[in-house]
Amino acid sequence: MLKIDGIDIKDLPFEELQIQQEIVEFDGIPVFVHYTDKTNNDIVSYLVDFDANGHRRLFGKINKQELFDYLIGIKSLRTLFSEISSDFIFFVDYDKSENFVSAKLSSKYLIPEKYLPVEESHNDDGLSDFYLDYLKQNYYDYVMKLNSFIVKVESPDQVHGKTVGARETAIVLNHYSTSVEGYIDTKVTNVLRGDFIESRIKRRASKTKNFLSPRIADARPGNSIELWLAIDTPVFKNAEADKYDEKIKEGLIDDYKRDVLDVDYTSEEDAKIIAEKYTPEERKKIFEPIYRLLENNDFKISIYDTKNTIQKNKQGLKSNDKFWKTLLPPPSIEELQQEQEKKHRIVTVVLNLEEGQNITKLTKKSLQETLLFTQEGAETVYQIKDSIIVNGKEIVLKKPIKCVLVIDVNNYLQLYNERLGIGSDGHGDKFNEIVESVKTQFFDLVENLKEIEEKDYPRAQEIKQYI
Amino acid sequence: MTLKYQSEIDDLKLQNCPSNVSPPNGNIEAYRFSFDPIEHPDNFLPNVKIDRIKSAPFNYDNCTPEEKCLRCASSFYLSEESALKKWKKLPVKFKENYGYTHLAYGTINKEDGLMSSPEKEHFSFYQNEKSELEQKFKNIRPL
Repeated sequence: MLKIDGIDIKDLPFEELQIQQEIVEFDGIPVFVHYTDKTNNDIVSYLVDFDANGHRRLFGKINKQELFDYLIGIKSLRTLFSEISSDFIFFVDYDKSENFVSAKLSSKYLIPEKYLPVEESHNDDGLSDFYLDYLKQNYYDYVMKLNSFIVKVESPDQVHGKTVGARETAIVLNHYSTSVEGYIDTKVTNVLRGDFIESRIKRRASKTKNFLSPRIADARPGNSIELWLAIDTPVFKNAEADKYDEKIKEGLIDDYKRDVLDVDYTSEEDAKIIAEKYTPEERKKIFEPIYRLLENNDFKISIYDTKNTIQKNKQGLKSNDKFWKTLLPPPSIEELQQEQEKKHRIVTVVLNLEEGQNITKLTKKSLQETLLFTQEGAETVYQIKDSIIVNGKEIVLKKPIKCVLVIDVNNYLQLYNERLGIGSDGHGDKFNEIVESVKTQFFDLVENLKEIEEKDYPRAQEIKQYI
Repeated sequence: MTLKYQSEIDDLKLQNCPSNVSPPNGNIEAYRFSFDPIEHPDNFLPNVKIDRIKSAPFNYDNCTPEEKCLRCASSFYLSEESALKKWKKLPVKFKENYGYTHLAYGTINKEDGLMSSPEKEHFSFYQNEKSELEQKFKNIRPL
């Protein structure tokens, strides 16, 4: 056997080695073996030498990624040992009956060349069922990366060296996520159309988008940043878990790459192909986020993937107006009106202001501080404070009258206090009149307190709390 | 039909050996690591004899009767590619110790012996007494 360099040690430092798999054997002799030790470290050994007195094995601790990379053929057996991650490797000599004889602590740099295989020593057996389970996290990560599309974001200038802004990167991520979600929404709708009612399709599309929204499978910063975006179809299953799930996820990532990412955004021909395949509404959902990114000059983007299915944008995204005019025609006046109508209904801002305060003189900060809500339809508490003056007469309030203010999507307001039995309603632009009406009703209650006390004692007690 | 290396089976005191084997169905193309020339006396020996000649580290004290029985067969591969892939995964020194220099190719049939079911394109072959594989094989490439 060859002379080896190293320090003599009494035994291997790994306790309670358990054989997991004999990965390589030769004519029935285990050559490359995977073990785990007492603390679940992964240990491998390699039968490197033998003679009439016994044989020698090389031992090393590896991590699961190294083992995985060897098993799927990324890393050769030679590289696994010559570039092993652990600081030390061990040579152990055994006699003919496999009894321990001696051990040496050594390093990967001291492995004799003859104890290594040739570089073409890759595994081509794939992952056995045992390793599919044993390395399932590594396998998951691998599949996600394999199916990723890579978005490379670069700074357009050198103001901050070649680094990329976090805010700009977030914008890119957000827009590509929106585009993928738009694509998923389109696919789910097309798969389910005809078999389900619209509300159910929308619900399922929403759930599916939520689950399949892109995940970051890897991120590699450097002079720029590479973001590996994956769609987690391997574990996708809706609550329904029916045949539609298979149809939805089938080819999803590859189709998105082909239809959306491997597109020449300067080619009218490409625009026409897309326009024939997708409706204007679908195109808006899928392509508008990309259009917005291309309009932004704060970064440069390139798109590619490990499978080389994306060819057209590897060197950077380019676009022209003609492409986008074909793909995203401007909305008609009717559509614009509808959109505005929609916005009118949605943007209902409710502020908690002092009486008499001039809204036109509010600063941005005070607007933010006094903002109660901006939802479509909601309710909040509105307080009538200090005093109420009606027809020149003043009632000083001991404490504010807390009223409920309800606003619906049509900006219709209701303001009331149930215990006092006062309230008024009307369109949002009549808010001051509504408040005045409620105040007047309270003023009348106070004016008629004696009568109320006789007829409705609890209500009279309620009124008295405020005066 | 008597096996060529029945004495090895007898020496290891094995019962029901070989088991789970059958004659080749027709002519089977087979590959094997070999010495040059093909008439080299160590070619086509069963593993048990190779172990002895080359001091190969098979532990006869710690194995099952089935494993011992397999040592009484010779190893073959169903394709050149599978044989070479296996060879490339071995350490250089390990290969030198065995000393094989070539890959041999030939065909075997039911007259030649009994074969196990192939696993990952490898099978064990128990030669019949009258089998003369050196006449049916030739070295096709150096290793």
